[in-house]
Amino acid sequence: MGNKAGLMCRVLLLSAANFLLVCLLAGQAKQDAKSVLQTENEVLKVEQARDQALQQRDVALLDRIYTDQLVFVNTRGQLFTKAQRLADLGAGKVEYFSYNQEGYAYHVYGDTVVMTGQTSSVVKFQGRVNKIPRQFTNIYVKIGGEWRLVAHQATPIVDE
Amino acid sequence: MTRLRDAVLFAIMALGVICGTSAQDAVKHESDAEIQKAILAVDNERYEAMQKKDMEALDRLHADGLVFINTKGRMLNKAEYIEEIRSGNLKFLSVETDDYKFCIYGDTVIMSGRAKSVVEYHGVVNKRPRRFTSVFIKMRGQWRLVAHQATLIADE
Repeated sequence: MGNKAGLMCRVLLLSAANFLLVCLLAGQAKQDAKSVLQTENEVLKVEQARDQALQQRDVALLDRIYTDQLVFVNTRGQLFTKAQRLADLGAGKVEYFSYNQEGYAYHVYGDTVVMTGQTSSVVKFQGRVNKIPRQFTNIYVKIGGEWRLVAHQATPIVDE
Repeated sequence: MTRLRDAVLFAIMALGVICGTSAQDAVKHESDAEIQKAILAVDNERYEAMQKKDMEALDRLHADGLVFINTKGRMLNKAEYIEEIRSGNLKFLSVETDDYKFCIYGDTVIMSGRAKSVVEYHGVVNKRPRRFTSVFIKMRGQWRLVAHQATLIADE
C-alpha cells in the first residue's frame, strides 16, 4: 500500500512538472513572437530614419546609424567604408532624385536582424544616374541598446 | 513533506545546471583571429559541400532562414538554394576568393570579399568578378550562413 501511494505521488509530481513545462514553453513562444514583431518595428523605424537622412544628407544622423566598421557595397560592386560613404554624401556626390523602397522582409536572430527589400530609387553617383530596380540586404545589429546598420549590399535585378 | 522537499531540491539543482552551462558559454571567449579562422573553415566546408553535393553538410551549414541573393538580384531561401545545387542548376567549376574583410559583433560575423570563381548557373557560365557579403551567426555552437549577397563588379 505504501509503495502504491509512493508511486502515485511520483506520477502526480511528474505530471505537474510536465504541465508546468508546457505552460512555460507556450508562454515563451508567445513572448518570442511578440518580441520578434517588436524588433521588426524597431528596425523599420531606424531604416525609415536612414531613408530620410539619405535624402536630406543628414550626415550626423547617418553617423549614429552606421557602425564604424560599416560594409557598404553598391550596385556596381564597389566597397565603401563608413568614412567614404559619409564623405560622398556630405560632399553632395550622392544625389537622390526619388526614393522608393518596398517588399521588406526580416529574419530576426536575437540582436541581429537580416532585412531585405527592393528599391527603385533614382540616384546619381559618380556622374551616373541609377534607375534600375535592385535587391538589397541590410544587416542591423543592436549595439549599446541601439539598432545600427553594419552592412548593406545592393544588386541590380536582371530579367532572366 | 520529505518528497516535496526532494522535488524542490531537484528542481533547484536542475536550474543550477542550466544556468551554469549558460554562464560557461558566456565567459568562453574566442579571439577575433580564432573566429576568422573558424569562419573561413566553415566557408571552405560550404564550397566543398556544394561541389560534392553533400546535402547533409549544406543543411547543417545554412540557417533555416537563409537569405541568398545572387548576381541577378534573385532572392532564394534555403530550400530553393539547396535545390539549385542538388539539381545541378548551380555548379561551381572553380572557387577563387580574396580581399576578405571581417567585422565581428559577438556571435555575428560579417565577411565581405571578392570572388572570381567560375560558376555555371542554369547552363550559363559566369566568370565575372563579384563582390560578396556573407553573414554568419553562431547557433548552438555551429557557425551557420544566414545571408549572402553577390554583386557583379562593374569595372573589372
